[in-house]
Amino acid sequence: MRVQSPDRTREGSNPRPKKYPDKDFENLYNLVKERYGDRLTARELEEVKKDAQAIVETSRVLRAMKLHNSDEPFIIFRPYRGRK
Amino acid sequence: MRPNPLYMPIRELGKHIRDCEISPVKLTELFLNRLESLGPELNAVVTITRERALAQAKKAEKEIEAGQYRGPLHGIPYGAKDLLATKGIPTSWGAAPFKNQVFDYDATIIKKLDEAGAILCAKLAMIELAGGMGYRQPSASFTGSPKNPWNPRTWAGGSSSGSGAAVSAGLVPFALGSETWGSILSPANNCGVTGLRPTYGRVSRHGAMALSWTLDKLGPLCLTADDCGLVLEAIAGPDPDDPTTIGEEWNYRPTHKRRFRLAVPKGVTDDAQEDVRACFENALNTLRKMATIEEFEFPDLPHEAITRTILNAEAASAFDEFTESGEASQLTAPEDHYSLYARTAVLAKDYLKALRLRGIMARAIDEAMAPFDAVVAPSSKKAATPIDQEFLKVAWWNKVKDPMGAIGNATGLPSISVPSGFTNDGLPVGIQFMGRAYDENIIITIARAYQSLTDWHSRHPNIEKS
Repeated sequence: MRVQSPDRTREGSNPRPKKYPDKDFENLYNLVKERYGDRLTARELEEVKKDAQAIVETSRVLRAMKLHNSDEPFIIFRPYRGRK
Repeated sequence: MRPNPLYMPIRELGKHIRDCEISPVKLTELFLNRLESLGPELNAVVTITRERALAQAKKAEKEIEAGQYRGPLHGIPYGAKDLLATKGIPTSWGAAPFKNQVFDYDATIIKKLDEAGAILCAKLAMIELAGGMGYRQPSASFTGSPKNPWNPRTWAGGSSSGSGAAVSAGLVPFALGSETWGSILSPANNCGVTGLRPTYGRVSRHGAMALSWTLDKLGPLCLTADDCGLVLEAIAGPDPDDPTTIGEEWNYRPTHKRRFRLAVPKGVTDDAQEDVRACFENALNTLRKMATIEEFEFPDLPHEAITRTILNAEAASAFDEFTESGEASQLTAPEDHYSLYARTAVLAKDYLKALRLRGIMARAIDEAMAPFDAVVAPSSKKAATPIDQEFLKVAWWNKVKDPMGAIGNATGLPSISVPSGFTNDGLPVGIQFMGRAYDENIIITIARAYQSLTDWHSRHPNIEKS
């Protein structure tokens, strides 16, 4: 895993989230509505819409951060081998 | 005169038990009776495990009388958050759809406490599915809104609600809770008890309900920081059934007394309640007797977006079958009926981006914290909220500023919350000490030192039945 230079956090700091088209939200919301809409009331769907919007906004913040190809997920996979 | 075991710290209780001055059987009966009479009033209890408790207590008494004393938890009653598997006893996860769920094994943490000789007296109430469905109100539990022993018209906090309330009300000497994001520190704050969130992987999660595999931690709620150390020593350690556990045992060794170096995050009380701010300032004045306090700034990263995305994605997967089944409609809080659906659409690339940023956040916060023993901050920005009101009106991630919780949980750092005063309404508030990874001994030592200078942790609510 790449060792970060001291200014690494500044490199991606305060970037302005790109203005993605509202289609991101529409697509996400429509997917959820398509899958689960029949279980939800109109009021509940309105709430789901807010949740979907929040997820899109959160994703935009993450996508605005710059990473290097060598910045790996902070999670370790170890091959498994049984004892037998 | 016989010692009164109520609200007695574990270390002291253990000495009396070891010296055969307090009988584990009588002690267990005392707490079982309190759980039965006061537990329902507070909505703090799901199941009282009387039969199992008395069998364990008799065994403990026999062993101690025969000189086979196991250690400071031998013969000590406790309660467990009802998301920990217990063989043959229902484990409801706080949720109506799971209220009859029974496992055929004990969680590792329960087994470890068995081995230490502790006595399981109750499965304690919690917010349904550990709050992972996006709840916004105290009533999100199938056993009723968990009440705060200091004022039953206010909330005990969550999601380890019953664990906080039971310790605060003297229903058990200690309890087990879990935290994904705030679920130990919140009830510790609201109920005026001491709660320890260990380093991620310190305590095995095997047999605990999974909400978010890389965020979930188990830890104790107790009367004192010293008690948290004693319990943590018993429950910590590697476990082949949980490959994320840290590979070495943990021994409770408070570091020697010295002057500490503490960091206060810049602007940490800007959006806090006025009473919370005042208590925090008082606490800092006390801490200056034992520590140097400096202001510091968190690394500039989107902490809450990272943590929220990890939580959303992992919870969506952990509860995928539950989501598809439509059983969410049987949950208690209305918002829990639908909040899980939107998160099923989090993209894999966004989850992985959050995991990649998590590494950068972990290194950046460790570097920032390196000169300090701990970061100190209020445990919560507010005291307990009214039992019948939404505590979060709008669930937008960017409206809730909780960098301590977001950073601490996403990077797996330990934190301990201790009582630090009361609001003008008589509600307790807490202060937390968050350490670098694996530094539980340091933060417990700091919390112990703070508790040696204050008596907030020695004050208890008056909840006896009239």
